[in-house]
Amino acid sequence: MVALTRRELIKRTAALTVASFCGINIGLKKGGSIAHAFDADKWVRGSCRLCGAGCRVELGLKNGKPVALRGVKDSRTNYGYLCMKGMLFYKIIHHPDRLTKPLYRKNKSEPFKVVSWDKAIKIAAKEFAASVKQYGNNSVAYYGSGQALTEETYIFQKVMRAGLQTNNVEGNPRLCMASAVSGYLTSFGADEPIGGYADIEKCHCFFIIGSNMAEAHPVIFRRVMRRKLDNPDKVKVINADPRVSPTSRIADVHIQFKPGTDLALLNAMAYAIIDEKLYDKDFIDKYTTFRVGKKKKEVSFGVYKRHIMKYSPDKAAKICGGNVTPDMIREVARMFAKSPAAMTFWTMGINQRVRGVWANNLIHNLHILTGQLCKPGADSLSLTGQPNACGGVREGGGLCHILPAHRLVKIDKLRHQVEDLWGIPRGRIPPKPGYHTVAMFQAVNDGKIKAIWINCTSPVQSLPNADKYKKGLQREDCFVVVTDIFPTRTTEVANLVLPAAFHFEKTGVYGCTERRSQLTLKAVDPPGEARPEVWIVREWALRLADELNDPVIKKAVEPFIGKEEGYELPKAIWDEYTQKLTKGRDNDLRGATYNVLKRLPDGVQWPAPTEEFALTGGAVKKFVRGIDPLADKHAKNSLPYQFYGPAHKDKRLWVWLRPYKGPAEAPDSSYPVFLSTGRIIDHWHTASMTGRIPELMSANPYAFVEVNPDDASRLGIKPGDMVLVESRRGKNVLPARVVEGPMKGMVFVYWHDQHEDRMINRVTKDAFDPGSKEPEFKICAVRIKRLSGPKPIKPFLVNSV
Amino acid sequence: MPIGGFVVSFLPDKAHEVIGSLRDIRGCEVHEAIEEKADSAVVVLEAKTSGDIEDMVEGIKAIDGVLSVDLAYLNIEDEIKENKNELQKLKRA
Ligand code: SF4
Repeated sequence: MVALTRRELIKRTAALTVASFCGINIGLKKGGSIAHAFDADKWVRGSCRLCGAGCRVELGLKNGKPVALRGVKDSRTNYGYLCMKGMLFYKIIHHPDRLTKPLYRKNKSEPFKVVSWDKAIKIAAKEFAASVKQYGNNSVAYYGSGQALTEETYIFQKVMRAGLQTNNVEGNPRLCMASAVSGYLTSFGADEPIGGYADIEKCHCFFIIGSNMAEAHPVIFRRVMRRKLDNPDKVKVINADPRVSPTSRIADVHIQFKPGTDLALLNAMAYAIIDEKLYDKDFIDKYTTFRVGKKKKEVSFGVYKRHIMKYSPDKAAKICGGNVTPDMIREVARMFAKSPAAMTFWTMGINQRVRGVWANNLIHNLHILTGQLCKPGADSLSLTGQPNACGGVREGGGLCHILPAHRLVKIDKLRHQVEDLWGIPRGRIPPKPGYHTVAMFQAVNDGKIKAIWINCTSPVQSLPNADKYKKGLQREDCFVVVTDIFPTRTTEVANLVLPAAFHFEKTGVYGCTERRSQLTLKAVDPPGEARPEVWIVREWALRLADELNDPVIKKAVEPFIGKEEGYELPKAIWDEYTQKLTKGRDNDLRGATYNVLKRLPDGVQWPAPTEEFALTGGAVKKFVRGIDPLADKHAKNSLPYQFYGPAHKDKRLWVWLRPYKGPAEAPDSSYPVFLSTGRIIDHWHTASMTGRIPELMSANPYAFVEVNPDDASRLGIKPGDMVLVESRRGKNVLPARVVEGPMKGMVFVYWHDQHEDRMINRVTKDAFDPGSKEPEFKICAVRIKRLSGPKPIKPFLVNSV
Repeated sequence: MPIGGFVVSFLPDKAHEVIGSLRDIRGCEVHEAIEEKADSAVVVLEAKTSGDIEDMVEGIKAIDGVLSVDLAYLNIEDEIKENKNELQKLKRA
């Protein structure tokens, strides 16, 4: 054999690894062990940090230093594939901008000073204790993240609820997933999807609405694309979106409707299904009831039919505008209903709406009416935006109205269960839910919250109508603690900035879209003095107990005292949460111990009550007997599907009668254009991480406004021109991209940019869904104007504190 | 010099043109499927920095008919060493 150079060997390793992942035979032979000689000496497994897809990745270490990355071939989420963003996350580990020391300032106008951890923890405890003593328990708040590990969210909320006796526990999933939560609860009686990604390879009709999954969940989209490419005639793809996005590229039909008219479109699809008798009568008889109104009144199928007759395709096509025709609505309804198995995907386009819950219900209606549920390849699947919005926040008790394991705060029995399991006196957790996100920051504005802990998120940039809420956080009488890894727009309003450990610098679990919990193990030490949040909270709670002279606060963290922070501490927290709190609940995770999670390439889909079952990977489908152990356990009859979810006493699926409602703010003569916002493939949320990866930043150094060519020519806007985008709340000045993306009368802006001229949430509206309390980021009215020709723009990041 | 292994997926009827364009890219090694699959190829990219790799990926994405470029393997050992040397140089300066 001709001797290969080291680089040739690495290249051969790369080619063979990839070829083995995608099953392509490229005719290269493995060079035996030599091919791996230059590989890492240790691979540490975890999940990607940078979107909700849940891709599994291995970080290769050589002498303890990261040297290579690879996807995990046997993972049932990504089967080895990663996107560029996922590939480059390692650059954040030990990045020179990392926060490495605790920083404090008494007044927000002063510069920060470095303080010791001891002093920092003492200050945080003193400030929160003083606030509780002087202004009461509800004067303090925690605002967390769908990117925090489950162990972190769980311990934070435990200390707030059991220790500080407040339900002021919120998190940014309120801004992205809350409508999906309410949708699942009201339609299926239980939160989170019935199926998962495994349905993709068995699906025959993909209905993608309000989601640009090609950019926001690229590796999952890849599976959809493969399914379509492998079966171009058999598999249909319908994309419904006011904007043509990279997701539309593989669509057979692109339905371009006016922003905010989705409820009319979905009701009209149901009309066609009823009118053309495409529904599954047997499924409806066995598993369904029809409901209406706040009181959830049960009505007959006949009443539903009469209701839906108001939404004929003719009428809906007029409401929807764009390219929508009555025939198109009927055609897609037929494609969906007649398909052997149909799957819907959606994300923020549906959830971030003032009627997001109703939009979710109307999607579920289509699936229930046609029986497109529970069978292989059929599912109504809300794609999660963040990597741990499901696992940590929805399941771990990270919102103001929910306790761990899908328990509602307001139900006495469930609250007392939690108090008993924690070994604290009954009555310790207040019966009233705390402030939801918009209300929480309004309470900060109003001076009602005197101390707030913001963890792993940047509300100054990510809240809608951002300027309004920034003012509150700037108040000198509101003490702000921020735990993060980089300076952000929110560290700018903090009193205390605590440097946190990053992914792979600590251990913990993420739960992705499809009820799947996956463990990421610590691979390297955090830089400088950065520490894992679980350590920070434990130490803070112990100080709080002293400050408030309250042994119950200490009791909340007692099981965790003395545990080593890199592995033992998160493991103890995970054990308490899964073994005690999820026992007997619909997200039973008792089988998903760290030991089991370490053995599996991906993780476990709950319910998984035993280790033995968890080792199979868990429940691919909820509610299906023979697949979901709880469906067998709770079976009330001999039917194959058992909808045992906690929210529906009748154990049935509910088809909802929901009327059409438009957006909170429609264009008018003063603000004649729709504004919608979203993410771009290379950037994650507020870009505090991806903005520091030069490869990603150089690909998209700043946000721009996408303008339809017709609008551009009408307004004299040329590519690169500087354009004013102004709403009733605020304005941005951005360079224009003239593109057949947004429909006529609509513009689109990416929201990652930290520069104050290009922070689009200064323009968006904070109207929210009355049910889910999720704001309508996706739609508001603006006016646009060309200001000048192209100007040089420098990328911007907050880079100091 | 980082090395990345990717799968490029493309529309089957554009296979010939796409493969041709890929072969024209410097630092891009193309491993065509030797079997029936005519809609993907394994590509190994080699460049000075991962920034250059990202640029190459962007270039590949822009080829008519290309649907996606997915990474499955990245070796960054050299780059990390180089970064470290850079940092040390900076520190000494
Ligand atoms: S798709 Fe999402 S989870 Fe997967 S590699 Fe990309 S950023 Fe990471």
